[in-house]
Amino acid sequence: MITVVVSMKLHHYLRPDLVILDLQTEGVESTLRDLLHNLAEHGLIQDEQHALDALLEREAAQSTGIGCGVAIPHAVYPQLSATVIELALSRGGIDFHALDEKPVHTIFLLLSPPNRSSTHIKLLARIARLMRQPEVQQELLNAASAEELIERIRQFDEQHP
Amino acid sequence: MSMQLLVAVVNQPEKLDDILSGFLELGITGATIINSEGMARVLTHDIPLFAGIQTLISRSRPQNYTIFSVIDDDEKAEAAFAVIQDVCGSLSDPGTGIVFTIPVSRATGVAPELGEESQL
Repeated sequence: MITVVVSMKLHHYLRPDLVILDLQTEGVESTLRDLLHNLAEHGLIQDEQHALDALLEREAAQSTGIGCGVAIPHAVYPQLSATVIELALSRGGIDFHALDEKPVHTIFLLLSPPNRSSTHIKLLARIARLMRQPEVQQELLNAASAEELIERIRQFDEQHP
Repeated sequence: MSMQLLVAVVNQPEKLDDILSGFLELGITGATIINSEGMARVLTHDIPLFAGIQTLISRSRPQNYTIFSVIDDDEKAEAAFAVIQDVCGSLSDPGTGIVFTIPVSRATGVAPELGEESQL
């Protein structure tokens, strides 16, 4: 048997309609509310409060603002059939209580059903590795459209095994 | 499909996060990481006779990490190799690090593959 091992491809999980290029919120809760409301409007979640509670519980344990302007709020949401990622950029920056206390400009929100934990963990690892590339965050912030932003991430996926 | 012990000596400590994240992406959930020192560092710092020898000093790194991971198949070990080279750069460049694998004939206690039903 031949096994082909490939890293998680982040761009496969991104959709242009779930990319927000200019988020206008300022704090953690209002940001998460906005992002969840967008997911609800797309019919992906029904119970925004349940998802918000799960995300805030995780933030209370330790901020998912991992530093260098990036936050990856994430939680389990039982009614999903697959992992959903929403990507948002904030020009002004958000006080996300990040580990380095710097404002957050790039947010990847992940929600997964309980039976997709492997995918969830691999995607967290992939996003963390992507966003530690020094040039990537600025390139994402410079993207003129959601499609351009996803294309940049696709290039990263191709360049980095 | 055979089991491999991957050993990596990483001379850039700041790259460790990315290497382990890359392992997770491949489904590798178990590794042992040891703070280690290279021979040149020990010779030039701890053995007075060799202090000040430029050839050794130039090869000396303040700290490195040694990673051990038992990986359950050849393809995944190959992918782990690729991740390390992607993160650290070509290991052919002097001072970058060393990676090798050894076939494992028997092992117990190896971390299982991440399952989709694992607890988050």
